[in-house]
Amino acid sequence: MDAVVFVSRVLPYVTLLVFGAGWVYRFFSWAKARPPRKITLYPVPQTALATSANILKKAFIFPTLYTADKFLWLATILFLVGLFLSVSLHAFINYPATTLLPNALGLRDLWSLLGISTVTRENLAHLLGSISAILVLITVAFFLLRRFAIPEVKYLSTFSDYASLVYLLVIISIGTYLRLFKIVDHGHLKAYLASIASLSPIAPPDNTLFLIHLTLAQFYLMYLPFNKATHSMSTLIIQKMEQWR
Amino acid sequence: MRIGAAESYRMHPARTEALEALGIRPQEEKVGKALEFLEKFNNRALILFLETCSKCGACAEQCHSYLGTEDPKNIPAGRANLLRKVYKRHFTLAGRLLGSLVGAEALTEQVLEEWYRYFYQCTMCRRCAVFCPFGIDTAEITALARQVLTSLGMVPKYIADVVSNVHKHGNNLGIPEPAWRNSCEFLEGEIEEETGKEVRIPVNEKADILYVPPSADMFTNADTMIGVAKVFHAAGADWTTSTYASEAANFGLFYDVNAMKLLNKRVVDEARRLGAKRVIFGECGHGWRVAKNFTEALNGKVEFEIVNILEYTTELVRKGKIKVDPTTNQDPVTYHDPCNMARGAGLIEEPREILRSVVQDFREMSPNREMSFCCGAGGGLLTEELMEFRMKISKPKAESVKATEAKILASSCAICKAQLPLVMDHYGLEVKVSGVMDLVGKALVM
Repeated sequence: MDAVVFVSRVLPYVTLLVFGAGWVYRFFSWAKARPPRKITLYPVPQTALATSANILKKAFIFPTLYTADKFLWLATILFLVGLFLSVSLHAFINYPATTLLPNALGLRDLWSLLGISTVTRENLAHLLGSISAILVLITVAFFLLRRFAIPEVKYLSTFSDYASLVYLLVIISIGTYLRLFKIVDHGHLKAYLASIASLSPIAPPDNTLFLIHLTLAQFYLMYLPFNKATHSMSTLIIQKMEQWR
Repeated sequence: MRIGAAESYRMHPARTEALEALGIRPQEEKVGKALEFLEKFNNRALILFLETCSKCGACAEQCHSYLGTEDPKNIPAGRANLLRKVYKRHFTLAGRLLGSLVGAEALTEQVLEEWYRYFYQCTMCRRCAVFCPFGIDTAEITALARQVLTSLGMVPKYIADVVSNVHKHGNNLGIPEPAWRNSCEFLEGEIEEETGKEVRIPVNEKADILYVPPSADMFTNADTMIGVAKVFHAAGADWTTSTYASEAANFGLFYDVNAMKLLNKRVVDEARRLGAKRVIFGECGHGWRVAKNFTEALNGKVEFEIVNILEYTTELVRKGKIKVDPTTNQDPVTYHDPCNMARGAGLIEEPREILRSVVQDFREMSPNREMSFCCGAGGGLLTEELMEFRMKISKPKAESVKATEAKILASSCAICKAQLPLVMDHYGLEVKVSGVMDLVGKALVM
């Protein structure tokens, strides 16, 4: 089997397996641990609804980080929004809100309803994808830079903290380049990703940088459940524990 | 930032005999014992706290201990790293394989000594948890590390002395029953002299309310006790103090869950013996946190209500059951939120409501409420050998007070009230420190 076939048609399934199993393992290790004592961090809301809203607010908007360090707060928000957009814009611009839901209601996709042509839509997706890729690139570079530049953060950092940021930066740089200069045919990319999802993988876009980007990204995804990026989930559990009424 | 700048601050350790009296057996082979302890300790919050930190450093500027000492081992995430490095090395695959590349380090006697110094430089105030974007509560990490140290026999003398006082005499100060009764009589005399009224401070009587003050209220903060006695009298309450449960504080929180349970049990047992329907805790921050949040987990469900004197007084003021005259307290007053009252137990608006009705000029300091800075002596650090450290780390609090230009600094915690007068003095502020109930006592119309 040649390397391209392995990386593009076999490795994705290994990645999905390790990624999924990794998260299951993580959740299991948290679930089987003894529950903590009542570590409520007051003030806390008095109703279940308000508590849920508070947990989401703390986990996604970090209001106290805004008070503590506005610059870091802004960078974090831009990073997360950029990451969400740029990852989804690889393939998912049509699904499910814009297409599946209107289809289910017997309508055509949202874009057609709004009178936006396919070309305009693709252009919009490209523009948004480019902006979000640059946002992620700049913010990750900022996270890395502050790790070197702020003495306290430098003191706290270990080799792995720098390494994972540098690694991410490489993935994102290649991705941003491919996106900005339309190196890869986006229709082909979407068809390829859809073919992975339907378990009948087709040949990927034929571009070396793209294949490097694809490979590095897969290794990162496999590593993700085992590093501190699990904070995307663990923070929800922590907030829940600290909002105990 | 100066690595190791705070290394010299070290609490005097307790002697073997003192430890044995508390049921702690000092261990010879410390490293093995500590790892054994950690292996069995499998707490969800701790695992999440250790795994989640992204080392963004947002906690550094929010920690008075780091601001005061500039030692990065006192940055909350840096302090957690002291434990995290050991956890990684001994209990994670990455740490075993990659060692220092992922920040893992083997546990040694030196590391344990480092723990002893730095985990006893955390006031467990939980301000870092408020500002951490993930909510990581370093006080819980400190509590775990201290628990490990306790299991090895590494306990500060100050804490061991205080706890053995409670076991012997029922309170931190070691006041025996005759002296307690004398103090109550003396305070009754003081009240009579001031008001002409006969106000009783009952001892060991069957009553609806068992009042548990911090024992410092019998001496250094006598005005707090006077205020409380006057309020109970004015409200016509059936209340008593106890010489068996004469301490609201619970130093167990600072070093040992077993001790915390035993100290909490004294109050529970005594409330039952005296047939109390309500146990009212006095102005003690961490004691109130333990009583409110941990009683059930430590000693089971209780059939009596657990209330704080500030909640009780707020109700009386709200319902007009006591009359107060704010013109008796004319000086500008500001309020220091004790960490364990505010962040720790949610007693945030009540003291403000009381103060607004008993003083003429109430001013908020900034930051306040759950964002308030610690007084600098919480977490069991109110000891002489840490005086220089305590003064250094209380600077943010001194600045908060100074900016209000208040003449009276009210607070509702005996530890804060012991620390803050020294802080005011150290930073050249002419501000009198007072309890909230002291001011209520003065404003009360009898």
